[in-house]
Amino acid sequence: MLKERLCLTGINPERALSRLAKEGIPVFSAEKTDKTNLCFSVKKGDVAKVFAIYPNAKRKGNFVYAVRRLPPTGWLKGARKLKNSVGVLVGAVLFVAVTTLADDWVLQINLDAPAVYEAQIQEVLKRHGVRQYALYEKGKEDLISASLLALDGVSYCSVEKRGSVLTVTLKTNSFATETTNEEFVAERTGILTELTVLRGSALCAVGTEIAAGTSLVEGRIYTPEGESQPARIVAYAKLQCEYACKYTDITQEQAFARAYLEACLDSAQAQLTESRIEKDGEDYVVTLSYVWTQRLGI
Amino acid sequence: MRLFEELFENADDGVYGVKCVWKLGGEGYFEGVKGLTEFSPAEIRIHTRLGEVQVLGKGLSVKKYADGDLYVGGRIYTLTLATPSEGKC
Repeated sequence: MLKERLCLTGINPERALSRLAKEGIPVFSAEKTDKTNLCFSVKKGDVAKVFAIYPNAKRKGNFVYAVRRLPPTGWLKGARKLKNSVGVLVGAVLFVAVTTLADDWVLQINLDAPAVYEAQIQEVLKRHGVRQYALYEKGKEDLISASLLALDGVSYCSVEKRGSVLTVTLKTNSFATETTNEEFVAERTGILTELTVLRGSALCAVGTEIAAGTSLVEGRIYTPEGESQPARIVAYAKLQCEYACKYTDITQEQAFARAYLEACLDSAQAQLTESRIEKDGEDYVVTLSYVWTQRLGI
Repeated sequence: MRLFEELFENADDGVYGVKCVWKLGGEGYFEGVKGLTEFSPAEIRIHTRLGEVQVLGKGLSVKKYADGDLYVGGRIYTLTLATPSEGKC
């Protein structure tokens, strides 16, 4: 029940209390501050009745009871200030609501991936129900990562949501992996240290530097007369390769691990022969030397 | 207040309708109040049908006054009833 504090001034102000009680106006917390001043509280709805009984009129030479409102104290004072600052209150409520709810939304999608993969990434995100300016279901990062890693040539993927921004990072294997039955193509860049051709025709010599994608063996057999006929390639090759990369804002161990994974050295075809980690300021330069073995038909 | 209703059920007309409950050394509750003639932190004079009740104490205040019921706050030390014909009691 809200009450308002009033102050009545006059001679024998307690008589006014009696009058108010007779008029059916309950009075609360009455205190006499001095001989002529009496402060009391009435229900908010009764304030008009009090002023109707004592309208603060002054007669000639006579002083009748005068009633005035006292300013609110305590929480009422703050509540009244807030009431007069509706704009501030609405703004504060809106700010809290927006910052709380925005976390559940995706307002921006950042792609850190080769341009050729953008369409496929968008397709994967759409398949998992992730769209810009839409609600985001938490815990989907692993599923999206798994779908993106299944794309051709993708060697590393991470999906991270911070606030309302979703960041997708994709790194591809820069080395060609496909080999056809007609061609035996180098899967890595390096020095050809061994090439055994059981069927087909060798196109490169051992000891030469080979770029990834270079055909090592042709699926044809040449006769001494100069004629050729197609043949299913059966061959075996070894390349001495090197992978170097600079990493920032991570530890030495993390830099090595990342380089190891990016070079796909966890594959059975790779055998690490040497690793070097050099510190360059705050960065780490990791150099990995390995032997890459590939076979076709064996 | 049921105890008091039972106590005063068969009381005389002069007593019924004017009641007082006083916590010794504390607050007091008065029924049948017609008005206040004096009000200060040390003294409150209550006008009733029976006469005038003088309340003496310290830090006296009117916590609630409505419909003939008066709730006095503070510390009441003395209650004196002065009836017009019979004198003080």
